[in-house]
This record gives sequence, structure tokens and C-alpha cells, in this order.
Amino acid sequence: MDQRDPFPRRTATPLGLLPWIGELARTLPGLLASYTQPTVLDPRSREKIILAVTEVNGCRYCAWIHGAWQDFLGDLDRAKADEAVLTYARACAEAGHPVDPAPLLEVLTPEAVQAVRATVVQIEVSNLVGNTVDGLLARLTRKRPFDLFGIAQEVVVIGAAVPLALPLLGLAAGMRAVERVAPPLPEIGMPPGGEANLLCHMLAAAVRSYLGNAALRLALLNLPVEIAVGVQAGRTTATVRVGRGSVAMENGIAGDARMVLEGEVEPLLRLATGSVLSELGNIRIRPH
Amino acid sequence: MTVNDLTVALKEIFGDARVDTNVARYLNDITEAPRGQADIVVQPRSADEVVAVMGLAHAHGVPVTPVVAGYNVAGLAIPRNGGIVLDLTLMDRIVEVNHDAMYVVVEPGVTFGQLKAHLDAEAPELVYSYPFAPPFTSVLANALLDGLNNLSLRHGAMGQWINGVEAVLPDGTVVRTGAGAVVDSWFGRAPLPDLTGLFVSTQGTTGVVTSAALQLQPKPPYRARWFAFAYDLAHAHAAMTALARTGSFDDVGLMTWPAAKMLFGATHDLARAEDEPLAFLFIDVTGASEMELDARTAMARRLLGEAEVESIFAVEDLVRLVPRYAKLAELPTTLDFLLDYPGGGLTWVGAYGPGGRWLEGAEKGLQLLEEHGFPPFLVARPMNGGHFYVLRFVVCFDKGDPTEVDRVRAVMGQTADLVLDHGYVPYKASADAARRILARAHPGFTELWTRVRGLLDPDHRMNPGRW
Repeated sequence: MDQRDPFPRRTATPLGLLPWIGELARTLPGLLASYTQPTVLDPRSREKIILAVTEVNGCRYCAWIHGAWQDFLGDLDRAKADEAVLTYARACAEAGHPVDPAPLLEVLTPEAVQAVRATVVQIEVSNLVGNTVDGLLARLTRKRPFDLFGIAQEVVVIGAAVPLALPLLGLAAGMRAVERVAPPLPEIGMPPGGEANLLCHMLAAAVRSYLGNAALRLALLNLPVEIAVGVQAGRTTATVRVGRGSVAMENGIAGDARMVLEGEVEPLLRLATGSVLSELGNIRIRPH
Repeated sequence: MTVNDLTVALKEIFGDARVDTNVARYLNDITEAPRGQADIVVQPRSADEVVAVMGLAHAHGVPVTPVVAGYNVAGLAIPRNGGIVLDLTLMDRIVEVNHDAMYVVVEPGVTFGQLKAHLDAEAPELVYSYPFAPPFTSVLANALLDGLNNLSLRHGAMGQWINGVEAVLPDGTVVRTGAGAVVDSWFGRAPLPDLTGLFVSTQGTTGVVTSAALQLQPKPPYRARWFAFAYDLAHAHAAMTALARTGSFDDVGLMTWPAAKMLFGATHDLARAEDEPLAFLFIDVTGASEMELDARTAMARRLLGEAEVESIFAVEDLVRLVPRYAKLAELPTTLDFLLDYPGGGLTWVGAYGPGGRWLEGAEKGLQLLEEHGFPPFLVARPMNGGHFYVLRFVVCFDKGDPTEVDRVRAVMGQTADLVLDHGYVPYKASADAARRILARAHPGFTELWTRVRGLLDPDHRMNPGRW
């Protein structure tokens, strides 16, 4: 009789987890950076890596949670993680252990490489735990050999993961709900022809990125009145107008702007790409 | 010799597949250059086949226009007097990469994309210099036409990168120049009589180069790219000069505001708001170590600040927000916002000249473009450590509109005169610009050129209409 385990996916076993725990220890600061420093690893890129690994491992729970996360953030062109990164992520998942990250260093900074490695570890472990749930269900429904030691091991793994998994499932459900009710991003109004200044174009790109996020879209586009905010980057000025379902840009600071964000181009660019916390100190906000 | 006789003779050499009387695609380029005329196109695969074509053409007095890669400017490869189009695209071998003496030997069909991929795989410690041109364009043509690439600030115009060539003269004779003519290494042009120059910037009028040795440079492991905004040309020029003279930067240059707007999709009625930058500078910094890169970056920031060039920011931050800006940072590059301009026309007058007259030339050239109703689009770069500068005035236009084409011809002619008035000499000169250059040249230059050309190609069969 064939004694091989018919469950087709890898689950969390001490031996299987060992290389990932070692990798996690080596890249722990990167894990923090992957969630707090978008200039190191863009959140949309992070979710693409996560989904690439999850696709290989076949964990339906992670696919559901991070699919919700990706939809919530919005899938823009700029979130295209470098193909080398996705290749690395898939290779790790297929090997069942971290592979040599050297090719990443040719296309990413060392900090970004660490964040990518940490992201792969995080989702790999999550996938293994998620698959363990399905593995246990398979045992209980006799689609897999009934093995008391195996069951005990799986219960311990799942029990340890529940405190983290349940809030994540709740968060994902919330994100899915917000994504469903948020209005779509309208076409951004621009000054006619070639008159839009460079700041208008850059702000339009930033607004597109920010409003890719379903929660911001829901909050800002449903404002009952239009809000005008001026921006001065270096010497160049522009105004963003948002509310009542529309978004528009105009050259210069509009007379009805409620406030003006002032700063050099560099911090404003970083702010525009999501580094809110680290760059807010470099931006001045004044009433108009 | 009739076209039929020529066809039969060429098919005897090449067979049917690489000989064609359908020459339509060779008769135009992307510029305002008028449509050309040719009888037959042939695609050799080797230097021996080039020798056979050139021998046949010489014996029967048939004009020959060499062409490669299918992306040409200024009418340089449009056949004028009928005869043979010698399409070198299939000669695309990278013959040798010499890691020791740091050069690569390429055939004319080798493209920038092909060379970059090859070096990345086979010689990752070395790098060539890449242009603001699509990856499918020819490395060798760019060098022979003295183009400017992203390491030209450090190492000069691309003609200087040629260590030697193998070429077929108009009468079918095979010649070699550079060290490779004497020993088994193409390490340089010195210390021999420098005959390589016979094939540089001569636009195919002296023979057909079938391979050339091109210098490679060490590739530093650390690299950062920066943009900065300049609100007037004087400060932009001061910044470029200061950066160039340190000898510490790989590339420094500028583009004026229309380029940035076109990158965002604007095509017509371009207008600059009062508070917008006039130009953005691009600065490419490398280092053998992180410390060296940081020190150079700090120096760039200081020099830009002293020149009152503001708003310095990393290209990677901008690209994160607007990915299409990567097109200006990673070369070679397909600048589709120029190539896909409605009507498909793209032309420029580009010239090399002294830094001391750059500012006046730039200001007057931009003014001239605006007077003719075109956006003030300028690309510039100090070259060869700042020994000379580039002024390139760019115009996008509708090739299907004859009135607009006439306007373009007029403004390009006047721009060629303007740059010459300011001590600048057009590179990749169109036939019109070449006439203007020769009209101002010292009689001794014209005499020497006439004699050299007369010696090599007395009937002016090679790329007729040029020089």
C-alpha cells in the first residue's frame, strides 16, 4: 500500500520551518522596513511578492488575505516589482528554503534586498501555517492518513498562529468591504493642452497613487464639498482640488486653497510615494 | 549597367533571399530629409560579401549607400543617386570582448541592446557608453558618426572610442587601422599614423567599415542618478561647468522643459508657467565604493547649490512616482514621447563647440525655435571633461504636413548657421548642414578633404550627396 502523504502542499514542520527561522533572524530589520518604509519596499510591490510566493505554495487563506490587501491598495503600474524580485520569491517558494539573493543586489539596494528576503520569509511561514490548517482538515476528513502525532503537531502550530491569523482575517474582511463600496477613481482634471506645469503632472501621479487606496478614495471622493490644497515644490506651485466625486489640478495656488504644503522637491516626492511619517518633518503646512 | 543586370549579378553572389528591388523603406527617415532614390538593396552577412558588392559596384560605377539598423537621422543613410543600398543589419556579430585591454570588436549590425546584454552576461566588470536612442540602433554607426553617449563627459565623443577598424574601400580593397593592423590586439590607435579618422564622421563616403574595436570602461559597482531644476540657462551652464571640471562625474547634462512636458503626453500648445523650471539637469554619479559615491554626491549637491541650481532629487524617487521617467535614466532608451509624436517627424541640429559660447548660443537657438513656432527644446552636455559642449535643438513635427515640413527645413537651416556663428560645429551633419560647414571651413581643410575623398572615391559613388 502506498504510504506517501496524499496532501499535496507543504505544511509547517519543525524541519521545514528551520531554514526560514534562520533567514528571519538575519533579515528582521527588513521585515519592519517592508511595512514602514515604502522607499525601501513599496507596499504594492510587497503584496506582489507575497502573492507570488503564495501562488507557489497554494495557501488559500493567505491568497484571500493578501488578495484583499492588494485590491485595497490598488494595482498601479508603478507597483510592478522587478521581475528579478518575483523570480527570487518564486524560487525560494519552490525550493522550500531561502535561495541565494545575490541576483537581487544587482537591481536593488542592500536595504531593499533585506526587505524582500524578509517578506518572502514572512509569507512563506504564513503559507506553511495556512496549509497546515488544510492539512489538519484533510486528516480529520480522512482524505489524509490519520496520525495522532501529526495531528498534535499541527494543532500546536495552528494554536500558535491563531492570535495573529484571526485579526489578519478580520482586517482582510474589512479591506474587502471598503474596496467594494469605494467609488472608482475618476479621470483627473488637468489644465488644457500643454499648459499644466510639471508639478500638476507629478501631483496627478501622486493622487492616482494615493487614491489607489480604497479607504482614501472612499473618504476623499465622498467629501460633500470640494477642498483645494496648494502645493509649492521648490519655486513651482499647483493646487489639488478634491471632493464631490472629482479630482482636479491647476497651476498656481488657487485663491480658495485652504492650506499650502511647502517643501523641496525631494521630500515632497517621497511624501508623494508614501513616506508620510519620515518626510512630514521636512514639509511645512501653512494656512492660505 | 542596367538594374536588371545589377540584380542578376548580385543574385549570383547572394542568391535570391538577400537581394531585393523593393527599396521603399530605405528612402525616408524620421527627419525632414527629402525622399531618396535607389535601385536595389543587398544584405551581406560577412566582410567577404561586402568586398564582393563593392568590387562589383566599382567595376560598373554603381553608387553605394551603406545603411544599418533602419533608424537613421538627418538623411545620412538615404540613397540619393540610385544604385545599391548596402544594408549591414545582418552583420551583427560581437567578434571579441577583450577583458585585458578593455575593448570589444563589433560588426555594424550589432545594436546597443545586444551589446549591453552581452556585456552584462560576459563582462559585467566592463561597460560601454549608451545614447538617448533606442536599443535597436547600431553601436558602430553611432561611433563612426561621432555621437554622444552617457560617458561622453568623461571620455569624449564616440569617435574617440574607436581603437581601429577593418573597412572595405570603394574599390573593394580591405584595409585596417589602429594597433590591430599590426599586432593581434586592438588596444588603441597610437602610436601609428592615425588612419582611423578617415572613417569617422565621413558618413560612409570613404568606405564601408565591416568591424571596429571600441573601448570599454571599468564599471564601478555603485551608481546614483540625480535630477535638479534650473530656472535659467546661466545657472544651468555654471552648474554643468563646475561639475564637469571636477572630473568626478560620469554624466552631466540638461533638457529644457518641453521634454518633461512631452514625457507626460503633451504634444501641442506647450506653455511654460512662470514658476516652472526652465531645464532639468541630469547627473550620473558612480563610485568604486559606497564612500566614494557618497563623497561625490555630496560634492554634486554643494556645487549645484553654489550655482543656484535648486531642487536636487534622486531619479529613483521620481521614477517611483512617475515610472516613465526611467526612460531618461536608463540608456539606451526608446523615447517614445518623441518617436510617437503625431505625424512622426523628429529632427535636430546638434553641434559641438566651446563652453564659453554655449550660453549665448543656447539662448539664441531657443529664441529661434520659438520665433518659428516650435517649443524651445534643447539637449546639452559638457563633453570630454568640459573641453567642449553640446547644443542640440530638437523639433518634433508632422511629416504629413508639407507646410510644417518646409518650416522645419527653414528653422533647421537657420539653426545650423546659428550654431556655426557661435563657434559650434554640427555633428551627424545633414547634407544641408555639411554644405554650410564647408562654406565656412578654412580653404586648407576643404582642399585636404577634397584630395582625400578624391583619392578614395574619385567618382563620389559612396553615399552620394554627403560632404
